[in-house]
Amino acid sequence: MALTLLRRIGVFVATLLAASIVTFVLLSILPGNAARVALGIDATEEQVAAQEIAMGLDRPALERYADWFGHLLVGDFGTSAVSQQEIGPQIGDALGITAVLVVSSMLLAVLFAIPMGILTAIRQRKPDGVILSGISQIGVSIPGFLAGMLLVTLFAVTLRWLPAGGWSDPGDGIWDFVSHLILPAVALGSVQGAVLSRYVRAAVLEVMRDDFLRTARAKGLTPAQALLKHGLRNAAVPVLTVLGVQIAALLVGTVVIERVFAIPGLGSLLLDTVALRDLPSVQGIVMVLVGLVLVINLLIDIAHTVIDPRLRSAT
Amino acid sequence: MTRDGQLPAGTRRRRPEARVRAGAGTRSGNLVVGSILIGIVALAALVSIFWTPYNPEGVFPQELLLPPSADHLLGTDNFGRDVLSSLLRGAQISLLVGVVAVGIAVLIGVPFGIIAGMHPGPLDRLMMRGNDVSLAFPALLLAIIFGAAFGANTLTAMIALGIGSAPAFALVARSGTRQVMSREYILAARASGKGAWFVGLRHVLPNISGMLIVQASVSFGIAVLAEAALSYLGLGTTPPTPSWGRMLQDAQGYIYVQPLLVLWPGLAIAIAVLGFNLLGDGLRDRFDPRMQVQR
Amino acid sequence: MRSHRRISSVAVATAAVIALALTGCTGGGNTDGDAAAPTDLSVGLIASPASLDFTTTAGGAIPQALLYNVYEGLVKINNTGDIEPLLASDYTVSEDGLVYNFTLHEGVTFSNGSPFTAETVKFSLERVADNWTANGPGYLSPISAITVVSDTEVQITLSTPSNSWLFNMAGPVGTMFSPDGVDALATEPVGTGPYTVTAFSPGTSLDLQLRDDYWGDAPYMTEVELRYFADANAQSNALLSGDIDVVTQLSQYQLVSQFESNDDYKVQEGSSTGEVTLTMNNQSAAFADVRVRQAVMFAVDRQAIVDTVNSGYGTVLGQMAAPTDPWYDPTLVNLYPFDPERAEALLAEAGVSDLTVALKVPNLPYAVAAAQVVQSQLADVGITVETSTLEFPAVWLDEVFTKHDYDMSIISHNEPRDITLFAAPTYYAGYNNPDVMSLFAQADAADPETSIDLMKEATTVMAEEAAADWLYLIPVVSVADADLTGVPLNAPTLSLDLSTIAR
Repeated sequence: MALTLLRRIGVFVATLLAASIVTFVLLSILPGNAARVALGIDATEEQVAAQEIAMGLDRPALERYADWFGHLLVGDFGTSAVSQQEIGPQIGDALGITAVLVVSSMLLAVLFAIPMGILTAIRQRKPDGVILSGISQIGVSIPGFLAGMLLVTLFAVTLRWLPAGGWSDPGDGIWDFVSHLILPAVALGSVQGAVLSRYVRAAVLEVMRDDFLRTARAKGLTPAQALLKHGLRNAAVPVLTVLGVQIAALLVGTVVIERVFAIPGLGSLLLDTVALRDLPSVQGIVMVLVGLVLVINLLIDIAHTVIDPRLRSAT
Repeated sequence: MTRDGQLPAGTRRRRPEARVRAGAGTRSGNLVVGSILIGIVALAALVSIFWTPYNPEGVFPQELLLPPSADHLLGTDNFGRDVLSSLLRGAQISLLVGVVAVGIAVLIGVPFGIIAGMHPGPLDRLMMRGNDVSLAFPALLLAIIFGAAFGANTLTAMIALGIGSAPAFALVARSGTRQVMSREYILAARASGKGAWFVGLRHVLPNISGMLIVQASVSFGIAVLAEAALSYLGLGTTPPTPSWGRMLQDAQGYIYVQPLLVLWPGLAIAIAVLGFNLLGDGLRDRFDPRMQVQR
Repeated sequence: MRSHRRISSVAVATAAVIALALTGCTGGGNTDGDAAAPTDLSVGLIASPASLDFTTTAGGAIPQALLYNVYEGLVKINNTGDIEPLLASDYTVSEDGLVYNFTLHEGVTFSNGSPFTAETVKFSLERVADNWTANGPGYLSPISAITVVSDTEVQITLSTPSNSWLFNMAGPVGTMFSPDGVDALATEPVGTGPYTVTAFSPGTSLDLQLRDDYWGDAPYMTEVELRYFADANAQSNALLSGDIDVVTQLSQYQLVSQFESNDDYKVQEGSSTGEVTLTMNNQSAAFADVRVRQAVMFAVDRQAIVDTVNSGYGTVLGQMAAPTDPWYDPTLVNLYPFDPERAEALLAEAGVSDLTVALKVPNLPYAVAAAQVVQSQLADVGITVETSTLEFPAVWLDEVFTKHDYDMSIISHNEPRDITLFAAPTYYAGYNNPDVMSLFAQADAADPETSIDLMKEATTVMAEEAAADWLYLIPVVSVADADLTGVPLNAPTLSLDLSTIAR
């Protein structure tokens, strides 16, 4: 068991390394001179050249990469080429906000998806099941920012019950924090919930056809009881996978909702720093994102083996 | 409990025929509705190649923001363009984005997954780690970076979406391949000396095509939604080419002036994505071998 | 080389010009139980500063937040566009226009406690040449000597008379810095202004706090939050739902009527110095011929652009000047009326048919929208326009501005009185007329009255030669909570001047 864990960690680090190389190479192809963007249009060619040297842009790629990655490993993200602020705290702040948004919206999604998915699966051929299924299908088909737009127009502008956007730290007041969180979390969570409920439904349907479930039913249990006692465990496996993928995609995917609600999350930070060609910041953000996705995948893998021992031997 | 699906004596039975009939009704219902919706979108795209009621790419300052009327069935937008014409032409972009993105994803992901599935062991593990790395770069992230690198337009968006969706296809292809590889006739084929390519093309591909088509259908819907999101961020289709996503983004500013402008592209997107999802559901039910079993 | 090379700073995202904010705190959840009206203000803006240092970072967003609020100079521009004394209590100019004597206020301190004296003036102006790379370091080139006469008197001698020099001293380049306050300009600005920066989150918000040791009359607002919205809809929604008190430069003109009919808000419309320009690359094959450029001028219906893009808000231009500039000539507006037939005739005369041009616009909403109108109108006269959207600032600056790799572009030029920059042969417009440059030089050195005549002459030549198509002047429409007063009407400088706003 310990060996497996060790190997897993080794794989994690190797993957992180590979991802860092991909990131570095990917970003080095961005056109637009970072030094020129920083200095602006009044700068002369000599000043731009001097700035390039100051930013270390003239060094060979390998050296720049090693320097950057070395610092990264000890947690030093460096300073922004543009704002001169430290990148680490900036990413930390933005990540905190995005994390809260992702977690709360996924919680809403799960709370919605599980009962919805199970219901639509069990009552698959009944009219109410079909209608519910139809509702979740429509939910999947709506772009998230449209949902956000409509929510803002209704609850913030027309009814004035909630703020139209912005963010408030929990430390500045619980009600402020919650009121700023509700609309974006609902906008995100409703769409993600609809998507997740489709997968829950499919997984439950799969399980319902399984042999051992029929054994349970043969013993006299109703479909719901049989499901609860035996099926959920198996259904959970693919649903967990999807959950992991959704969370990973949401880390950047929240950027659209962030724009609608003017929330300073990680996605917005990424867009802003890319526009400014603030490469140290962009690299830092992308690495954080990649690292998080890998961690999430790792956790999902572990959760899989916990839930279903049969998967333990699989790679 | 026997493996051929016979229930032990004493089990409450329902009439198998009735159940299959009802089930088949729902299953093919998805297929039918999905196909109809997609058919509508495809028809719109096709027609718009040759004709639209008005020019969706011009600017008509005398006809800004008109409500629906006999002349303009869905009204005009803030450039005076006929909304219906823009929707029709926009269908082209949506379908194009779907086709190219899914095409790229299939071309990259499927061979990758099949090869990994056919060679369990170190090669498989290495390829799966590579897949993990690419999963860590979601489509949106790639679109942002590619947009900055190569200019933000439809082509860049499609390529980014395609590359971003490839890992999912690789996973599906791989798991399907492994299932197929474990079947007895495959073992027989390998034992009789048939080469890997032969086995792959002749046996694996046809058997996993079902699940690949399902995945493709779902990915199509995702691509349409992603194009809308990218247009919202300013990374999608360049004006004046109409795109549903950009229509939605432009309409947002006029939600208090002419709210219907938000409705039309939103509806179009929802119909297209719904169609693909229903189609995917219906196809999944169709291709699931267990559905053949009578209960 | 550098002495006369002044390059203006070009448009900043969507909020082109500084609109003076109408202050007002209403709605939302922030009202406290005080009997007196609250002294905190929340302003909605679009383009965020990238750092706090406008000496090395270009763009108007930083001066918008910091000029006159955190930083001050010897003089300032007031809301009607005239020069006013600020840190200098008085100044005199010699007969020959070469010697300026400034008398400084006493008891002025920087926010870090350091005193402001004539030595500070000398220090601040002398460090520009070697340390500034943005916001017009070339503007100080006329200075030949700075003499400290006493603690409160400083004399500045110019090498040639310059009408524009003092005007530019009221801008960012004339800002006073303390010798011990220039180490961390990007993160810790130290100025003599009434406010200090208490928090700055790039892309999100910038918080200002009133100093209690400010030398002048303290502004009404003690706490100001500048909130930056990447999305104009989010900004409007924030105003509509009471999250912010004022939008100083509304970019969604289609909402104006909605605000006007609502008693909770006060709307006012003033003028800016931002000219939205359809630039034609005079050095490109397509537009080297003046007749082709003139054809474009006749083919483009500027009023239609204003109606479509701005819901009718904005003044149609015919020159690169604002109505507040002394040499503005209203007759030039009608030099090129909308006349597609004449455009076609000119094209035929120039022997041009089936012309295809590349229109490369920055990905700013107004530019993208205007591009679609231009493309449609030029198509009507037989010119095919291929539009592409370039990421702003990185790619547009590189391709269009630096490399001049374009045929046409659309962007707003925000700096006040930047026509002299535009006419420079090395500018991206590629307009090359030595007579015009000579007229500008003469105008700068002449007495004010002759100067105006010379400027008019130069701008007329540029208009007749269709150097560019100056489409419209960006209107400054501000929408504020009804209980705010003193919101500046016009935006004659880069600064968002908070000093007059009250409740």
